[in-house]
Amino acid sequence: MGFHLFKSSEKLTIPDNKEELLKKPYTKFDPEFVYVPLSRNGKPLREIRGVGDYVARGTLLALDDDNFPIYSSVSGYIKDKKEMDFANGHMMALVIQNDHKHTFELRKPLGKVADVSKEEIYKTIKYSGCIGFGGAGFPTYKKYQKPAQYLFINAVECEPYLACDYLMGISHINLVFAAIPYLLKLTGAKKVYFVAKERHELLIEEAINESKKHPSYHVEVVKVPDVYPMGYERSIISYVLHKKYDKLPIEVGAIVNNIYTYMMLGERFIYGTVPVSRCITVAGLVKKPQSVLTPAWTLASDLIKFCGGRSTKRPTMVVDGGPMAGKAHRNDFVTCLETNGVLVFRDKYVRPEPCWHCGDCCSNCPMDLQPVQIQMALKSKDIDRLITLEADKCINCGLCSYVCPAHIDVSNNVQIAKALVIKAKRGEKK
Amino acid sequence: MMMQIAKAPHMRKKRTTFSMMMELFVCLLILYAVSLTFYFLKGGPHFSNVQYGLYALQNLGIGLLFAVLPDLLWYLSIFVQMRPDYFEVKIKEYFYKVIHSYSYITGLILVLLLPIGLEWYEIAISAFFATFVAKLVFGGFGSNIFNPAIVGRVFAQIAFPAHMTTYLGDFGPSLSNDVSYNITVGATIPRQVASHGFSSLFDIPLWKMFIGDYYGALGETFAYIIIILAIYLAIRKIIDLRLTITYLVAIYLSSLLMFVGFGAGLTAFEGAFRYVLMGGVLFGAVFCLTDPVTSPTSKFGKVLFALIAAFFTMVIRLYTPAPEGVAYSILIANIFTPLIDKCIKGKTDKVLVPYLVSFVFLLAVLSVGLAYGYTNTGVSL
Repeated sequence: MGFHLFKSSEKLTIPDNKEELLKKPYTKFDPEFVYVPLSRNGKPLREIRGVGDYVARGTLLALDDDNFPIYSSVSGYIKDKKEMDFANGHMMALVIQNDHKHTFELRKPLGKVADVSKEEIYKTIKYSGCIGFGGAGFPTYKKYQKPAQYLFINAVECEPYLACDYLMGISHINLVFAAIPYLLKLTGAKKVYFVAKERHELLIEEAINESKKHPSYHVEVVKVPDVYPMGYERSIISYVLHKKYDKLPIEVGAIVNNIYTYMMLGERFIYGTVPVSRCITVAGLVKKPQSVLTPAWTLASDLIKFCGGRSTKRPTMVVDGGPMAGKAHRNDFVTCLETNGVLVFRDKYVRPEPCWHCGDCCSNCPMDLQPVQIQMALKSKDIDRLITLEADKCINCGLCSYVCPAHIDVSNNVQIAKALVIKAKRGEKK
Repeated sequence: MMMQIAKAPHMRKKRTTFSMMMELFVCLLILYAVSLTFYFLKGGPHFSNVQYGLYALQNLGIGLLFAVLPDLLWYLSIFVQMRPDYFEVKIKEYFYKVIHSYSYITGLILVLLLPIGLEWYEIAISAFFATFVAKLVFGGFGSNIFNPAIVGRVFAQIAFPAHMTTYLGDFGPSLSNDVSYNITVGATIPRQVASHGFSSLFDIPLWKMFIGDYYGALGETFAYIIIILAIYLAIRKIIDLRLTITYLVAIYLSSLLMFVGFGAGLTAFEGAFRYVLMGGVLFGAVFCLTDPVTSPTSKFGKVLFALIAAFFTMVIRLYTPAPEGVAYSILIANIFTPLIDKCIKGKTDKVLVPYLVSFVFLLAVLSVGLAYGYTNTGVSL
């Protein structure tokens, strides 16, 4: 965005390869097996149902220490309990065989907004098991523990290839808006911002139409430019509110949630379903790239088979999430609730050249960090220097690696440095 | 061998170091071609036009060959060290290393930085020294502290001062005694200014200075070509104009104050313009100062670096007996690069301190010109 003598001001528009994907409506997929994880953040869950039980879609399977639930995503019998590779690690899983009967176990929908108490809304959010569908998987109820001034609906979807939020948004915009009055009541907020990319005209149009139907919600539709990383909470808040914060957006009185999360909460408030399905964009080197609405915890290979299989015979890898921040897997894995993309790419090694200190990573960093200096300090294991360089402020957007002409894994090195700094800071506190 | 799986992001920009370097190489070749045409058409004293042209060609050949030679020798170590023990793998790796050491660019810049009067073995020694001492000993491409081409140029200047002339043949000592002989032949403009005062700066018409119709180092005189190439390279984001413009503006303003101090009146503007065009300022600002390896990484650091280089350029030009100050000043500024990088901490989103500090540094550059101007008031122009 223009030239600046000292600040890192070069916002990049990266090729997003979305045109085809945005035009195709999403398809539905019903897998034969799903694999429900039995641990969260490394801690095992308390199991309610075991092998041999019949479960419906939405039946409670397990609870964690904080009574945060996990529900079944298909109806059928629990066949087995075994270790599986998940997108976020190796975990114990319940294997449920799908009987394709689609029996639901519904919860009680919330009544009119005026009749429900704040406590009730908060408990509903918590026991719906809703997590952040943007990709981080942060439990949603934790964001709503404090009152806020602004609510943000994040429909930017700045990662290349991904189109699932857009496709679900244009077909279920009423569910998104159904969640707003409850959340306004819970947080006491007065203003809602619907943030979308200016390129996604259809979504913006739908949102404007819907906001005209509900003037009491005070929804303002904000168009953001087509740059990366615009969909990050920090970028959205600094673009809309011109404010900066340290750790969480609640510090400036804002709560940011993905459009998909809103949709799932709206469905829960009105129809009483729990969020156990997920639209996933399957793209890259597959024969029929498309967005697939599937029950959560499906195998990635099932999704790729559903989309016609790989279109190349060379070695490939499968990326969970977007190409900029997603993790690559060589073996098969189970997608999570927060997985928004399954992308097939060539598995090839690009030889990096030595860093020539051009500073492209510095001038493109959205957090104004100096990745090249962080990398050099990491090489010499200089923790003090890493702390002064504020390596822990990195948001893992991957732009530094993207722009690096020498093809060095700068982003990965900064991640290692970030972990070191956080560890060192914790050590200081103790 | 199990390879590590690729880390995020899984998309990369198409631009690579190699493609950028090749574009730079082509740009430098264009500049060289213009210079070659100049020598073929214009020639010089004592020898024919064709001989001047052929000497320029010879300089290029020798420069490139002896810049790459240290690489060819250095990376022979691959054949001893590397495993697995397949000859094809080793030979592939050897040529990869030699090509990706980019010493031919060092050689080309060095050839453009040197005047035509050097003997072939002098160019060969300088080029060898540049790559071997300034690049390979420090650890190869990307690890060098000093700009290799500049090191080669400074080496030539110290080792073979008698032949740093813009004409061919060894006529040095007798030339200065011969009063009838045109003194402007042989010495570059900075040398004439140092020995004959500032009036010799105005000997050549300004347009000739701009299109490069005078003698100097092979590549540094063609101002308009350098400016066009700089704009192209900046648009392609191969060089950072932040450095170039800061450096040029600082020198222009400083010399402007100097000419005002002389009491030049309105001529000061023209004089300062000539002062920026003279010598290797423009070439150094575009092709040497912007070398990413030896300049700081942050934007603020780059501005500071350019101001430091400008400061030393002015000091060396005005107060020392070495009038071609650009090469020395870039070398000195290179020393400050790690220090500047170390001083810039954390997030770079604060603007006030960078503006204040760069202003102070700019004042320092200006004060050099100002001090010289007012201590030498009334210099005949």
